[in-house]
Amino acid sequence: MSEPRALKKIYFMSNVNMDIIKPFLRKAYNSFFTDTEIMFSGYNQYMQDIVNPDSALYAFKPDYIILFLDGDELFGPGKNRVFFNGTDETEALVRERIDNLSALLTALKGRLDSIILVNTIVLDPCNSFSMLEYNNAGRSYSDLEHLFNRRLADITDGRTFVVDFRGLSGSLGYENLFDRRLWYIGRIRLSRRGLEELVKLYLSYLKAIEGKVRKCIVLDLDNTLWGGIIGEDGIGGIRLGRDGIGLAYVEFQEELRNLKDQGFLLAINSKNNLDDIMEVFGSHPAMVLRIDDFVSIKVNWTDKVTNMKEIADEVNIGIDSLLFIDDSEFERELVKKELPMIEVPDFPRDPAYLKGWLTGLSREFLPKIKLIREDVERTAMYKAQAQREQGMKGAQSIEDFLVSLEMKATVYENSRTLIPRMSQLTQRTNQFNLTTKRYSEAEIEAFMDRGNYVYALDVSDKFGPSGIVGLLMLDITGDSVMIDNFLLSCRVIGRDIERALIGFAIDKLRIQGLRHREIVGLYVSTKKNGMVSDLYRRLGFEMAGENRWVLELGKKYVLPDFIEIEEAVIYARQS
Amino acid sequence: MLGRVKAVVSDTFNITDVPDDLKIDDIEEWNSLGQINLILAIEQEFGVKIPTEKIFELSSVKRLSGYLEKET
Repeated sequence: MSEPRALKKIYFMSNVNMDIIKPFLRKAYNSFFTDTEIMFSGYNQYMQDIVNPDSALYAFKPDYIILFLDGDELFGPGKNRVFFNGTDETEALVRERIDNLSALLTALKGRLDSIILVNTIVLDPCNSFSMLEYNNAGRSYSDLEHLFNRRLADITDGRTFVVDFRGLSGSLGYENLFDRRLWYIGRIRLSRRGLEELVKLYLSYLKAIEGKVRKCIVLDLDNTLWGGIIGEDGIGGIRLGRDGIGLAYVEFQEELRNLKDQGFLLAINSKNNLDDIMEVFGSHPAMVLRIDDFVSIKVNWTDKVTNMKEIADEVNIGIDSLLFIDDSEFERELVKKELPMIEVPDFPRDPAYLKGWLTGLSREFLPKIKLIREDVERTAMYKAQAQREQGMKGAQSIEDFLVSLEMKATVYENSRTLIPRMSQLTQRTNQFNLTTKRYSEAEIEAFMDRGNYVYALDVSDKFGPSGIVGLLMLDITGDSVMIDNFLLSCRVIGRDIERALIGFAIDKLRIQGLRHREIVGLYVSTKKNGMVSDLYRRLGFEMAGENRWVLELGKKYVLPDFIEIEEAVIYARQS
Repeated sequence: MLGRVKAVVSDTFNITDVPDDLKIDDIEEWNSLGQINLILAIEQEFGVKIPTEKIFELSSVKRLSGYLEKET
């Protein structure tokens, strides 16, 4: 897991009075970031803040800007006319508000690199038009809310995200999240509960953006994926199916499968006989998850703590990336005690609440905002990796093994489409990472815009694709070419792929005839990247100062021969 | 009752000492926003709902205790 940066600055703006959220924000965020500085805009001052170049907002240079918009206040008293005047009027009012917001955000983004959070709006559902709403063609009040929220998707980009407050309100209820008394006495919209929930909602988005997410869900089987105990009840006796409570487990499995398709990994840690389990996975007609959906399967009579460590080891992720789901309080307490870095939530006693519990959990520990190609293929990639490792054990020598892999690499130069994956790599990679600079999508884009080169490396071999696993960011704005960031995913360490990537980039620069004479690489030591402390030496660079390595750009670089490397022709790729 | 009210006041404004006659504007944190925060905390602690017109009226330790004695 990546560590959050030391200090985060958050600027909060709203069209209603949100001063009251201060203590709630501080409390929640101080436990997430090691230090936060939160500044508040004045009541309904957000437009002035954005338009005025001398405002406190710009002086503050926040990492995050949160703009909370209240729907009723946004549309004002004019909203009461739209139903009577027809949908053209409804759409015109929405268009006006969206265009205004869009213009403000454009101005804001032109001046600051901050990440911006806006929200889907909520209109008081208790209004005069609710029964008329769907029975009168050509007229709509609620479209004010629906259309505005739909159009918000148009203004999102690499650093502007939409927080679904409307969804939260639907889930918990307007009356629970809003306080009518406070509106009249102080133009405060939300209740105490509303403030707490809104803060939690923002936090889950921040976690997703910062990459502070669990990666692997470890699951027990009996009374977790199905009702009953397979060893005692037999395949016909476990509760799993379209009848009765069995459906709760089917739907629970469906949500787990959704999470797996979003890029989270699943593993099994269960005290059972493997034969019994394989029978359920192989022949029970109501099973949603298949054995192939799991990257690690520990079905044995060993203690679950040992199994956990092996799972983390096999999948090559930190113990602190695991989330453990088990109905047994004994097992949960044992794992919590011995491996406190694993997240072990309490399991609901009543299976009817399993699905809702899981989705609530995933908001807190498995938040996800953007889906990238890698996510859908992640489980398959981890399993292919396990196969490679098996292959490695059988090989006569490392060289033979590397040749036998039949590796092919594709290099992408300054690909905008790959920016989300590149940002993800900078957040997640800790070991093969020379400078450990963490980049948001916006920052990578800005780096490219300055005329620099960002190379992404896609590797595949005879076992299958590994995806984009390498990143090389070259800063050419100075006298020497500076290697701003050079990293490799742990999946592909130990195969000399780094030599292929850097060699390719160097040759490209040489061919392009840049004025630079040399390329400089720095090593910034951290607790986790000791393995690359002498990487540049291995790659043929000369030491030129403490942790500073230099290579002359005149000489041709020798590429490793067991990997076929080529550059992608960007316009031929689909996004 | 008085003790419980003072505990909520202490917690809301982060102060250790709560004199019996403490009221709004006596300390920096107990301004109008502080009063609202206090009322919300009192509502949560005592499980009551304070009517709108009373929110700024119950602006001292004494008045809060008095009101809660009658209503709970």
